[in-house]
Amino acid sequence: MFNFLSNNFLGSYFSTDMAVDLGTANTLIYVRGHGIVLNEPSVVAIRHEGGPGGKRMILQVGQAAKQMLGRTPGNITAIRPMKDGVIADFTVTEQMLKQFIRKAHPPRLFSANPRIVISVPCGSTQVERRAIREAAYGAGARKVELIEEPMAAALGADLPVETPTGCMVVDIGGGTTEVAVISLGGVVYSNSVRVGGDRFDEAIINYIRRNYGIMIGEVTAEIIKSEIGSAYPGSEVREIEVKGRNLAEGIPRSFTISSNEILEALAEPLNSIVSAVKTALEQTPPELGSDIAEMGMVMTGGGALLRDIDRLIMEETGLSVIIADDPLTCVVRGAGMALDSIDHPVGIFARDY
Amino acid sequence: MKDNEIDKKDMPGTDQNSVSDNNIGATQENSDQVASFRPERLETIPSFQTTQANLSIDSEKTGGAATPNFGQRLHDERIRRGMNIGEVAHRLRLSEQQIEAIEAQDFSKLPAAVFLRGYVRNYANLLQLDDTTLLVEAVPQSRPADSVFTSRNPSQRFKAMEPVYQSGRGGRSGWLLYVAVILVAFVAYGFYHEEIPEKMAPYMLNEGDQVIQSGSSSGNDQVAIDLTLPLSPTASVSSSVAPPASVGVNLPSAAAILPALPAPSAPVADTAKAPDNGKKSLHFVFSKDSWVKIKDSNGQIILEKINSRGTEQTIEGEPPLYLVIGNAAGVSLTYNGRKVDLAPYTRGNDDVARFSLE
Repeated sequence: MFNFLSNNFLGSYFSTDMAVDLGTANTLIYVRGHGIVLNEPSVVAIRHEGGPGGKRMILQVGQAAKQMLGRTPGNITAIRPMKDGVIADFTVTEQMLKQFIRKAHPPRLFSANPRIVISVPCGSTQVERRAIREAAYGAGARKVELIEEPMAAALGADLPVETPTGCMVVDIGGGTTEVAVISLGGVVYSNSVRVGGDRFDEAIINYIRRNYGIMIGEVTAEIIKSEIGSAYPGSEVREIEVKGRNLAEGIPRSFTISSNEILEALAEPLNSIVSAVKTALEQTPPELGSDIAEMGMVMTGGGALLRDIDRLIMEETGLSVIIADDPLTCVVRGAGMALDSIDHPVGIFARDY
Repeated sequence: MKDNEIDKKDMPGTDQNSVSDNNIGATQENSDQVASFRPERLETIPSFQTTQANLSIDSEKTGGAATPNFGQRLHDERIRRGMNIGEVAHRLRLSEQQIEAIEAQDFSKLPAAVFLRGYVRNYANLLQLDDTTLLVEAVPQSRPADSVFTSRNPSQRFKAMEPVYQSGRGGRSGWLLYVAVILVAFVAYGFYHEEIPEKMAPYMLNEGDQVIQSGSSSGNDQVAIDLTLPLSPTASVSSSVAPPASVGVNLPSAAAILPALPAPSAPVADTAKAPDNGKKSLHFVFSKDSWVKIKDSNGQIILEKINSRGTEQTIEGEPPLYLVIGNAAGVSLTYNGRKVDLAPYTRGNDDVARFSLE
């Protein structure tokens, strides 16, 4: 009984419950009653001291660390500890999360540790989920609940998930694309392919190296993608001038690339996404399929901001596709909504055991 | 100016188009009477009528002028661009009914607000409108039909998802159960403690009560005697001779609890009237060796010894007196000058009499 009090009753007065979207590209934190308080890239800059095997310390996290990405001297490495939606470097992820939580919820005297809802890709394994849970506990959480990303995205996009109608969500994140059909507050079908914004950047880098013989960095590739990237041939062709290192000459050169070329570069990762969506539609029970055919599907995540990606899926599937309001924050907002049900047995949280 | 433009650019294509064109004319003529034009337009689709009328009334109430009429805007733009509904429906991968419903702002035909906003955004993008965001903002956050399910309040949403009944989960009633169990435990404890004085109560009863009790108890005991009749013929004989005595023989436990039965108590009651500075005398004549223990009203043991055969013992004590007499068959007791028959109090097997005297 006392445990009950300290966990829920008193805890809610002295701690801040938060929802975390620990994404490959960006980490967002939503604090109950305050909204989204943090939106930073999931990048950590680490300084090594004393050669190999020496001390490692966190130099920067978030935006400041992202600016260092690809521009660091020998003793500093800027890394992205999340890869394909899951933890690639456990210790660094834990430290990063700790720093972010500290930013969002500055420790005070008598403040209890927060309860945290974290989103995980639906395709993540038990080990990966456990790692995320452990990282959150290590970062100072009192209680950790996991929520599958498509579920959170659907909640955040204000889809009527609790009704007996099928809703289809396509969440294109930094590392993964999650496709799910949700009805009655539960996931009917879900699939996760490890294609996302990072894969788009890689595809652009490879394309430019192959066709232009010029090496560009990840940051430049991301700029190209967001400026002129598109998923479907449009009427207007846009161009951008970028700079990279010429592989043959070894000298930085400037060149111009058009949106049609980027479209060509993105064809392969986009095909994976389209086929994932088609597979999902194949696997959906017919009643829910008819609901989806009538209402269409909803796209969330940063990938939904790629120009004409809704058009591509619309043309490929013949179904209506809409993009949620503010797709970048859907997952964390949905996880924040799920926070309200942390004490209720509604069964929207994922199990990792 | 818009009227003219529309009139000029109207393309008499499909019948849907012509229907809507007429409507445009009607709207422009009496633009303030939205309600009057809507039912006329929807004559072809009767099911629309009621909801449509309600909606238009609602929009008038809330001041339709303040929020831009996105359906009308999209409709006008579509006509201006010379597209028909079928074309738009094909481009947006929606049904023609849905496009019509969007233009008529008939929310009952459309899915939840998030979809509606998406449709309007897509439609506006298709028509290359410059005020897309404005139009999307005009879409209401919830439909009138959405009540429980698509509530904006998350806690209400999750309440809709909570199970109505869940086995093994007490919730509030579970706490009540705990409280009830604890209360029952306390009450039971209280009764346990009450019970001993209650058992003792018959000894302390006064005359009137005794008479009533003996009457009622003898009635009860009579039933018991009838049952035991075939088993013990001697008992039945004695019962016929002296009913109260048989009670003691057949039901020793009852006798132990309720020993103050009429036969001994009646004389006691008579003698009790004689004041004897509170004390009464007991006179024992032992024809066998017998162990006697006597407690007085204060619970003090006034006599506890083995009396040898042939002796006599006289003792005084303050009633009520509680007596235990071993070998009761060999003891004759006189209490305040009256002989007390020990047989009713004697347990059959060990010949020990336990009783109290007033």
